Amino acid sequence: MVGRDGELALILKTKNGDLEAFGELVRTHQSLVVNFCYGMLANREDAEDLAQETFLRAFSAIKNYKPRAKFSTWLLTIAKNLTLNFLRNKRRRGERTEPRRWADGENDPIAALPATNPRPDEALLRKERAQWVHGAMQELSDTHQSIVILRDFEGMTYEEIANVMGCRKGTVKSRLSRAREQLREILLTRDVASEHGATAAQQGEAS
Amino acid sequence: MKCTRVRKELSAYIDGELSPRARTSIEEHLTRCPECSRRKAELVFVVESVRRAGTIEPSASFCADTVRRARTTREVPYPTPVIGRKWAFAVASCLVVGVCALGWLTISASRRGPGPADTLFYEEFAQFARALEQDGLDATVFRSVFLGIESDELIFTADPFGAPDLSGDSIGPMLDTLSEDEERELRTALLELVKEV
Repeated sequence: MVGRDGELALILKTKNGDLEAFGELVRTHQSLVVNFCYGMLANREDAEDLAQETFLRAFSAIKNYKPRAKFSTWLLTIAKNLTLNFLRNKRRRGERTEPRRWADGENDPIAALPATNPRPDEALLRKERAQWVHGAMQELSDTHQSIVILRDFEGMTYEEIANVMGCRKGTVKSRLSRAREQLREILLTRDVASEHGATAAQQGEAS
Repeated sequence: MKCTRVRKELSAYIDGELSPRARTSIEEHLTRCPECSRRKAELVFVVESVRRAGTIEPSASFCADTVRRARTTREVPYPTPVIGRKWAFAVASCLVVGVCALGWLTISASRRGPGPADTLFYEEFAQFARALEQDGLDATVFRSVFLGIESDELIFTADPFGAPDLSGDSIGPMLDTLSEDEERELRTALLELVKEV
């Protein structure tokens, strides 16, 4: 992991066409960008294609990058625009967006996690929960979904999310609140959710 | 603080994004309101569930593939047609004549001021912007929209790389405030305007 100064040095080198420096920037930020795209598309292949496109666009336009914005924020802004356009075009062509479930181990984020608990029923429960949550997220608008991913997958502050989304901090706050409220309604009113919901309330009340 | 207000603030409360004063007010309310307390518990569960929903590791070759593509993109020269000497001379002559003619036209146009087509464009533009302003929309976004027109579709972000510079009145947030029907209507209106231009 490079520090802020190290990152600026890499950006300067990339501006001068240094591909090794560019590679280092990709290595540092690949997980962030791939996971944002994956959160939006729930398909590894599409997510990696768009993440790669994000880095290539950043490479061609790196002269436009101004260091007053964090480089990660700038990358996520490009990724956000690409994914939203991708989804919009897909809908325009009448294609259905991929269902957010993972049929095989390769695409399954839970299977890719190190097994902290070897009990198969626990692993299954975690997998089911992940599918259940991703299914609910699919019902959000693209903008709400982006904000939830930036906050809860990427751990960004409201200020950073506002920079990526091109809106005010207060807007992020209200949209995130609405998105979570919608998720709460979906997750706690579905049949499949009943046992999770009951557990949720118990867990929450106990905390 | 009323329950409705507290519930709107709960999400930011969970994220630690409230001022100390607002935080204290909410905490006081939660101690005496079991319904809001339960709502908070449910929201905490939602947030935790999303956080645990899982992320993926990029493929092992992701970085190398990306750099390879960047190298290819940079190093592949722009394809130039292979033509004979005579043709090359003819094409070069045409280009020189074309550039001179274009230069002359530009200079004479700038002396004359905007032509009828330009006037129509700006009038239409201003009229359309005024109409939308009356509907409560910010007309400054049109600059972005017009810059973002590509072929026959609108790309709503004019400059995908300049977003940190965009202020709150950029097209993205504005579109977010529109319903799908309103967005479609705006899109159609803009496309029609562009076709006229």
